[in-house]
Amino acid sequence: MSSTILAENTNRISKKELLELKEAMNQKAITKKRIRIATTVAANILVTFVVLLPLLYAVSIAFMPSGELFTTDWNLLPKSPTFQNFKDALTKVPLLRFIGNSFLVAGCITIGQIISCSLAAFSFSFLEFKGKGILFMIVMATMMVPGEATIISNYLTVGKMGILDTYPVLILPYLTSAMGIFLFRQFYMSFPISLYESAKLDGCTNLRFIWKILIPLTKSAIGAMAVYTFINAWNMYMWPLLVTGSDSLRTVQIGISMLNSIDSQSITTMIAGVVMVIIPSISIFIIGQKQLIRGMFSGAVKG
Amino acid sequence: MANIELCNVSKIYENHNCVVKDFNLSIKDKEFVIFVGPSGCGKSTTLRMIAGLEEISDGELWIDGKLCNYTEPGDRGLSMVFQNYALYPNMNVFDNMAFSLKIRNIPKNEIKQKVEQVAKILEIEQLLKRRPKELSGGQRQRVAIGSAIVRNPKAFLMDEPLSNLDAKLRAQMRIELAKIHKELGTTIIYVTHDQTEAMTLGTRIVVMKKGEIQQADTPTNLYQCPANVFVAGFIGSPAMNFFPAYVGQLAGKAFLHLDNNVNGTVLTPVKKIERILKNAYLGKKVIVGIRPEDIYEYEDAKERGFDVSMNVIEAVVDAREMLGSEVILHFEFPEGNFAARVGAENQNYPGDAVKLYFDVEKLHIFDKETEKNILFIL
Repeated sequence: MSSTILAENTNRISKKELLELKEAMNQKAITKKRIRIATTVAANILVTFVVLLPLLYAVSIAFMPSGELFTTDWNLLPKSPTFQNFKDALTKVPLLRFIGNSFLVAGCITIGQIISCSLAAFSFSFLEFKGKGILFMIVMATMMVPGEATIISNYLTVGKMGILDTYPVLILPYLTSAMGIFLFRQFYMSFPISLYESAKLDGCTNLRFIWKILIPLTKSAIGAMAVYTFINAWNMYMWPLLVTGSDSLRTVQIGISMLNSIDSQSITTMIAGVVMVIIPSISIFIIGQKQLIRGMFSGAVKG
Repeated sequence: MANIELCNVSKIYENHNCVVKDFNLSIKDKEFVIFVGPSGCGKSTTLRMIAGLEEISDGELWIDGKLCNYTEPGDRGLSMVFQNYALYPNMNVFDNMAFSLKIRNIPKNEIKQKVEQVAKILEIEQLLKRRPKELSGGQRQRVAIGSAIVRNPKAFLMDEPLSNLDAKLRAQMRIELAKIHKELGTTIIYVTHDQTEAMTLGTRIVVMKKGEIQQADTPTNLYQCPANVFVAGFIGSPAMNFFPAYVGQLAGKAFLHLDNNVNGTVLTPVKKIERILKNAYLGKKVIVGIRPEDIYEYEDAKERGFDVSMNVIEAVVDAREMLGSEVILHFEFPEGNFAARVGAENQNYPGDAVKLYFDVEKLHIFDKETEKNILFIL
């Protein structure tokens, strides 16, 4: 009691003065905050502009008549915008068919990798078996072998299998990936092992555990993996070029280069094709970016 | 329910690190057995071996007369409650509790009935639709226990289930666990490093150190008759005081000279101990143990009717801990520092010299070499 009375007696400024001081300080803090936000936004806009300039310029070119591109004038924006390039791109080559092929191939690869990588990662993180560490290291080591180094042997293998120039040849070699196994394993490492043990005591089988508990709880990892794999598969170039010969099996990336080869003046048509082709991968990234970032960084820090 | 027997069970890891050594224990139906010991003593590993989560390197595990070394965890008929509750975050409380029953393909109606019945016992009926993240620590713990109960297991295995709760909630849950044990009458094997939990809950306590059983007995026996220096020091708070001593003889009787010094403090053991000392320890060194509550202030001891003509020492207070209902005084003493538990009205402060009486009837004497209680040796 006595200490409270002592504190009341020692007030040195009035309540009004204290309030005024508080307001003044608040005002100062708000101004500071506004300046900070404005600077950040300005810097962001500048960097975004620099980063996106090539893409925006490509979109702009796609709307330019081909004559307009090759001038010495300043032509960042089309003077007489036209959809002709898009029409040409769609009529000169079967671009829609290519897009369909790419969707089919990328979709199958994505689903296949999610299934195979998550199952492999489950074994590497939840099951105990001899040589687990060494096996995982071997899998990781394959990440260091560049794709170009194996492409010939892969070609010879699929050639012997007699599946050249078919859909399976585009999909089969990419049904699993060390990167995917690594990504899932990292995610599972942060998964509380007691949940698995508890499920085991409940009499749950491994597959049931994966289906009922692991998958629902690792949606963000699956999302990240799906976005990453789909974009990679969509952008494949060398392998489809090597193993497919007929137009009906070509994927978009090769289709685009076919636009270029018809005649050298068709650069605007090709850019229009590129713009159409990047739409699916960009939209997948936009839809899944939250998942991708969350998935990529989960397990990196405890949180 | 279940009788569980562990015969010479050992756990040896690949790097020849032996964490559990020749563990022999027979757990009878309806017992509440507590594994207690410092970190790394192998108590959790033993529990996990019983559960089937760790392979048994050597020895036999019998559950209800059936050898279960290689039985799958799910087929052993045991339930486990984990330290971090291990609730499935993607399911609500009802589904969490019903999960193990669904795996066993039990009809939906029966599952509903069982879950609701258990929820009623644990007073979590209103939480059945909530997700684990919407529950407090205590509620999660109840759900975890509920998931274990609902399966109607042969025995419950609990791995430090209360250590994530705050002190108040822990005390409350302790009482509830005791009630549940009484109500269900199931065998419970419980791992903890908290000796209060061990003493209050267990019908039998297994004290472990470095993978070996030090003593397995009822809480009272463990406290009153510890088998060795480790058990004596581990059970009880503040811990038992230990003094090195030398067994001498005077007028045909054995005496204890503290700090091996014939001129130092002399304690006169009671007849039963005196006889053992005289027969086997004359001229040898031993360790004397006395609990803080068996040391009295001189005046207090006189009032209580103790014979204060002997076994009195004088020591200087080093520190004082006021615990509300009692005071713990820590003394500086040439033959070894010690603590005494005295009444709350005690007014001694650091620096004061205090005359104290040692209740020799409560002395514990341990062999210096083996550190075993001499009562156990002979």
